[in-house]
Amino acid sequence: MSGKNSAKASSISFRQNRLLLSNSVKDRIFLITILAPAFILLCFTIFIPIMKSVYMSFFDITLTNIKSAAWNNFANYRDVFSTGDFGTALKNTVFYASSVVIIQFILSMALAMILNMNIPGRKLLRTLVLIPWIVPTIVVALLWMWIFQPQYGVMNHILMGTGIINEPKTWLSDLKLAMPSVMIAALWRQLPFMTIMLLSGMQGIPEDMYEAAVIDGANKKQMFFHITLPFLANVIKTVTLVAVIENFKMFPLFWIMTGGGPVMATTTLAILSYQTAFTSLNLGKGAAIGVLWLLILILFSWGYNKLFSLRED
Amino acid sequence: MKKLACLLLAGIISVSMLAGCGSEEKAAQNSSASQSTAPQTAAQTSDNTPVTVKFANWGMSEAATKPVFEQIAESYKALHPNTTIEYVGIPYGDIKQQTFVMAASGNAPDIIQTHTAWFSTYATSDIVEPLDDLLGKEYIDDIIDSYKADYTYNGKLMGIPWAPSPYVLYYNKEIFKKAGLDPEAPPKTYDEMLDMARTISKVKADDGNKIYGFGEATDKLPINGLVALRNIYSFNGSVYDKDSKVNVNTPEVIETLKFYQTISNEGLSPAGAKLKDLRNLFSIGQLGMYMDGYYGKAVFRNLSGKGEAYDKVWGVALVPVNKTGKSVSIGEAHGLVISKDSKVKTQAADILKYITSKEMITQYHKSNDVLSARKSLSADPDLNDSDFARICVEQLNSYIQPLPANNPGMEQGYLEIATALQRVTVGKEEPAKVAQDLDAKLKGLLK
Repeated sequence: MSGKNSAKASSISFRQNRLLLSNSVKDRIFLITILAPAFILLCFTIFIPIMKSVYMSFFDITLTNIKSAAWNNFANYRDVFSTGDFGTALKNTVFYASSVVIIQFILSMALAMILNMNIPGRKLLRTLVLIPWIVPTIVVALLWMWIFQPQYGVMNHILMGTGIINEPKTWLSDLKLAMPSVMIAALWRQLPFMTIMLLSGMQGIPEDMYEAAVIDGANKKQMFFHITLPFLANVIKTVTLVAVIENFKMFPLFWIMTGGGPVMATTTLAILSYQTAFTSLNLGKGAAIGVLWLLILILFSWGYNKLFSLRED
Repeated sequence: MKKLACLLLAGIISVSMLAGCGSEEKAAQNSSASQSTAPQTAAQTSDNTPVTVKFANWGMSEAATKPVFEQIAESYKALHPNTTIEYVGIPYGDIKQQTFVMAASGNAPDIIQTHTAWFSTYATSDIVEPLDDLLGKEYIDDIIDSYKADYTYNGKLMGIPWAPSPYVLYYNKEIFKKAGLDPEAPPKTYDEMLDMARTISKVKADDGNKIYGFGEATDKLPINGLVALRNIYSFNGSVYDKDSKVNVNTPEVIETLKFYQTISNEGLSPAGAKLKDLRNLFSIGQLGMYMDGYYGKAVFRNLSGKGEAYDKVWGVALVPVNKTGKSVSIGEAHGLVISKDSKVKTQAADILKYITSKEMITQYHKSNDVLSARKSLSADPDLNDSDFARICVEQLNSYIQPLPANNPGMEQGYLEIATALQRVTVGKEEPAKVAQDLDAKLKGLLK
């Protein structure tokens, strides 16, 4: 009898333990399991390549002698800073990314406000505005390269036809015009995304807020700065961060339209890193540029999030 | 139940991803295992053992050359039934990166098609096999001396020139007529060429568009740095001095940069042009003169939209004489190399000999105007079958100068030369200062 009791007691205790385990660990196991596929995918596509790049940046490793990679006492990093190329590329990248994002934000906001108004053909306009976003970036680059072609490009044709310029401009070969030309192509391609995001944010703002403001005697400017902008804060934070990152790593527009030239006028970090890794085949130095570039982006994202979280507080 | 389904699904996805990686790894292992056994098979080759030679090239990706490549594989197979040429078609712009990545992952093709602008990178790497023993003295001695030098590194022949081409002067006869110049009298000297270019630049095309007198490519690409050597040489300059040390801070190189600045400042040449821009402009009658390889003829026919009829519009001449007192050009080629890791080097070398043989080059010449870099074929009537071909052959055999010695930094060096051209043309910088900076850059790169 006592044996039976003891068996029963131990069975209950086992079941309790199992229940205890179930309560505390089961959910975690479940979570880990459903996260595993995504985590494994991220490991293979992001974490491992990043770690490999960081590792490579400390070695003398080129595709021409990949079998004899050797530790080189930070020579890749010293090389990167020994010429002014990295500084020029960083300056170009920051100038391009900040200019494109600021202009894009202003134009997108204006466009979103127009599309948010009760204007005839609003639905058609909202569809049309999406067209550049559908076109792949590489196609956009080729398209604008032909538009800017100095001898038979349509840009010179229109500007000369309307008397704005007297002789053809070499848009992509001119030290002062090359960067703005690429920026125009980038803005054309990216404007729809930010416009649509801001428009969707605007449509979520309760109409009664504006009605109350009108009753209180607020003008349009006050309504914009005290209702529209605060309500859009989260959307703005997200879309500008996405735009900054997208433009910071922009490669196809520059590579196809200018190849980083003329001279160094449009050499960004993406171009410099690619040229180092795949023209010179110096994977170590290319990786060092990539690591520095990653650090800059991480610092920027951290500062950006900090800035917005301060505003939220 | 839902939880269980989720778990099952997640488990299946994770396992299949890991299995996928595993199977790839296994496949890679199998592949490397088969490679390690295949070599023995190939090395021990008896005539009955089938051998496959992988040949990475961009010719198969281009409509103009694909039939020639297919014919080479077929006719070689007819002669050697046990050897199959397997083409790995890679676009021109990607072939260097892809073949180096393939070599780094132990999957190098046996033969690789290369271009002169990046041959140095191959020649100085550890993925290419020296060819001296594989090809034999007789074959190597038959290569035009300039090309032999271009394909040598540390005293060893690292590749062979295939489809070689000198740069020759193309001029548009109709534009010459329009400008009041004799269409049958192309310039003989650089001074004459500049004078003619100035005259041509004063006339307009029928549609009112500008006509450029003489075009030089100055876009930021390694090939444009390579092409600039033609002008540097003609001004008696060089990259290396008599002691084989880098020295481009010389009066000759400065004079070359001034030449580029002059044709840019005077609007004789389109600013920042690529070679393909010059070809376009020449084909649509907006460029009077420029220098290019033998392939110009096919390009003009195609781009002008007039086909063979356009042949009457243009003429060809030797590169005009400049400071050296004779015509000077450089030789380009589609170099062929054999991978160090190839297990079928003997067969690969035999294929190189076959595709550069008189029979195959003659066929390639008939379809694509290709020339030969073999001295024994220089006077061959089949390769000198037109005035155009004779000018190209004469330039190739008598007036080309070797490129600077192969160096791991040479391709980047060409890019720096192209950047220097942009600084004097687009940036309007002082040639002497640019030459000084270029000298410092090249000294760092070409150690």
